[in-house]
Amino acid sequence: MVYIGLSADEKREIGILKAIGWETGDVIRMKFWEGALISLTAFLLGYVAAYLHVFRFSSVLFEPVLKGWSVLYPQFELVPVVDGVQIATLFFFTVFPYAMATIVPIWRAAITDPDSIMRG
Amino acid sequence: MIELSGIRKAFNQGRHNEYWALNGIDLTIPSQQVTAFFGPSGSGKTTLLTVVGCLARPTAGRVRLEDRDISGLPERFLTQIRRRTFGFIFQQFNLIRGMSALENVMLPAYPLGGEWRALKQRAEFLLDSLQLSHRRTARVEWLSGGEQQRVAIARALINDPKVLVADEPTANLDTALSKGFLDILETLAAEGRTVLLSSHDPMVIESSVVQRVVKLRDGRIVGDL
Ligand SMILES: Nc1ncnc2c1ncn2[C@@H]1O[C@H](COP(=O)(O)OP(=O)(O)OP(=O)(O)O)[C@@H](O)[C@H]1O
Ligand SMILES: [Mg+2]
Repeated sequence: MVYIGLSADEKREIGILKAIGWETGDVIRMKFWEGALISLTAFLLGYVAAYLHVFRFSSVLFEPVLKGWSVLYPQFELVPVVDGVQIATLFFFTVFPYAMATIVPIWRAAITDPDSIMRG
Repeated sequence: MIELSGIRKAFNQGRHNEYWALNGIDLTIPSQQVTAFFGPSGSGKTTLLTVVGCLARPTAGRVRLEDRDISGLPERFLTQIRRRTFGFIFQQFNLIRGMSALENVMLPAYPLGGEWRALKQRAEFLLDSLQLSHRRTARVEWLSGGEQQRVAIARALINDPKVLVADEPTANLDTALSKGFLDILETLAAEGRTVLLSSHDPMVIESSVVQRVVKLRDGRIVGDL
């Protein structure tokens, strides 16, 4: 059987947890929070970095692109906005697929028989 | 008390490589005794321990635990029985790398949802009783074989199981450490725990701690002393 996305160590770890009395659901919950924490941290770091970039540092990277390369600097200010829908969309396309991509292989590893761990 | 009747276990049933690892085991294992399963490689010792310890279901036959038939129970119930009744000491110890000794010992208790502080105290007490206090924060992959086994023993005891199951407990230990294991076994037996183990090791089989030796061959009982 092939488990995409899980290392041999992770599979072993799941087998051990099952053998010492964790239910399939316990394993999945723990792994889910572990995965959610990682992707959520990544998401929030990205969000904070982008926010700082736009609001604090006046978008130094994008400003020339947004304002154009005119030599005569046009006198207008870019007004940064936070779009809730966009953030939700971003979240949905980063955190959610990550969770799915990890949960499925974890679930498949977690339903295997706990006796396999006796024969390392 | 654990009663096995007509236990058979097939691997790959219905396929060309079908193999019957257990071929009709009838056995009564009284509580508070140390029983050893002894037999050549492939005789079914590990398989029998997994069936008794609710890690695997028999293909045929019944397992009764304290007069309750548990052979037909669904996986979830088996898991619950397993974690309340049994503690396992695996041959390869099976500790989780990257975690400390203390964290490893605490792992089997998390699904039971008790208070974390009390659990930590219990784990520390167990490590202390096995002379491992000074290594409790060390990651398990840094521990010696004997230390790893004691962590595994502490982990097996964290939920205070009535029955301890140990598969080839001395296979990865030298003579001195095997002796150490037998001393720990003595203490566990004195506490009134039921111990089931499998072994090739004459030192274990002939030890005075072991009260009963059940001999297996080709998935059958061929001797009971
Ligand atoms: N998952 C499996 N699939 C197929 N055959 C298996 C499986 N597990 C065990 N067996 C076979 O069942 C038989 C009994 O195995 P078991 O591990 O119980 O023996 P054992 O007495 O513990 O041997 P050892 O002393 O070498 O540990 C062996 O012939 C083994 O090859
Ligand atoms: Mg074996």
